[in-house]
Amino acid sequence: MPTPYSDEEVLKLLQAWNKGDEAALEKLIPLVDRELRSLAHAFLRRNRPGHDLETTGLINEMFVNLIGRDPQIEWHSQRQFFAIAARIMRHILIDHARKEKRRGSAMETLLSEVTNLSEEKIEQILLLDEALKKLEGIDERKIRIVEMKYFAGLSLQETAHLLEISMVTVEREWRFAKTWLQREIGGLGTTASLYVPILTQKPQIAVEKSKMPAVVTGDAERKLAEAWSNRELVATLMSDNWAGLKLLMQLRVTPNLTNQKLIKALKTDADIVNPLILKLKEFGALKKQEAVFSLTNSGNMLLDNLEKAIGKDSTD
Amino acid sequence: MPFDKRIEQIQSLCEAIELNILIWGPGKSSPTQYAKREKMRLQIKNNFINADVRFSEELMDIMPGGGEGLSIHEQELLHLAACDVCFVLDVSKGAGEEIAHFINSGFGHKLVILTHEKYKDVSSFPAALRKHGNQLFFNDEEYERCHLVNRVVSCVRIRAVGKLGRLFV
Repeated sequence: MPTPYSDEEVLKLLQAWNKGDEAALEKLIPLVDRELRSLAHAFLRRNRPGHDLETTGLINEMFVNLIGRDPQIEWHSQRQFFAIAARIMRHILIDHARKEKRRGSAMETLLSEVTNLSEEKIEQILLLDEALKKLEGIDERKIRIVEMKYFAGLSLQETAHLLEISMVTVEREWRFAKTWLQREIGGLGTTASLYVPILTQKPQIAVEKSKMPAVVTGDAERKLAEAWSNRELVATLMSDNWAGLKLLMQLRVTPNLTNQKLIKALKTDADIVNPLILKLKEFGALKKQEAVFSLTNSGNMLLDNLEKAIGKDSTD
Repeated sequence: MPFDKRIEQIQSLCEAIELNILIWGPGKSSPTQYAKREKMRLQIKNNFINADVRFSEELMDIMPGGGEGLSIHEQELLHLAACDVCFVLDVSKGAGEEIAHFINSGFGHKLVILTHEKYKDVSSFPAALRKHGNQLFFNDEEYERCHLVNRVVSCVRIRAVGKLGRLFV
């Protein structure tokens, strides 16, 4: 979202306005108008046609809300200003949905992404709003991402730019937020609990304790080594934005590829693929025979387990 | 299904997988270190939706029968047996020494001991732990900033993927 004015210029006006300089607001509005309009338009576009709010109305309500804030916001950057504007716009739309007992299509679409529920839609909007508020209390950055990316319809890049974080972070936090909202709306709490394994393992403890020698045994060292090797394998799968796992998946689809063909199939370069191949070989997922690479049994089994987890056949 | 889509699903599943995590370390009487443990817990929970993250001192309440008849070591061993990974914030000389012998318990691989680098030469912990990535060292800057907490979250992420792939991690 490139701007024709400087961050400093907007910041100065915001700070002056905060100190009661109404003229600063007059100067500020034309500077930020284009982007506010685009933000408001994106919010409204995601709502069903016929919504009684229009772009100008939404911006005006946003400013009214901003003026009435006590304590006033301490401005640090124009990015912060747009982030807060997006948040206020979301609240305005929620309030409208609540008042009018109707939802915007943005809410419906978000709901369809996070839940299968389809009845009592207005209640779901409010439920979603409650969940968003709860998420805000837990992790404010995630809620800002939901607002930017979803409600304002900004791209990953724009969201990352506005929040001054990497795209990878935006992607990860957006994914987490969706799962979290899904769980909240579905009424599910955290399912993990140490209590259950503690209960089930109590009888084994005395036996384990009696077996523990004072010095590190070969068996213990072997276990440590095995766990370490598996962790290194997982780290390799995840490295370079999961290029290691893509490499294994590629070999599953097209076995017996040479180094060059692997590089071509993965559409990347040798600097990324070669170290991955070395590590995947070292940690037992890959083997090389007559200049071609294929998966080992362990590599196949690992992919099987991951594929089973996502409920998809690896060959599709 | 394209690789990227499948990987995205795997990532989502890892963030939603059930994880039982322990954080051992100084209690409330050491406010700075306790706050660091709190920060670790918060960050883990912020990244892993279904993680049950506990401090050892909180577990006494959920021990069957209050842990009656079990020594402290046995109780700790029980906790270790039950968790997926156990972080130990080792910020003083020999603080976690007694934990080292758990390495022989069959659950030693679950330990991740976070030791200040000034204790790098102190031989409280068997070399095997260090050699196999179960003891991580940090400096003052890493401790003050979020680096140490981020490393903890990375350790959890690796274990989550490993658990999903049914690997012994």
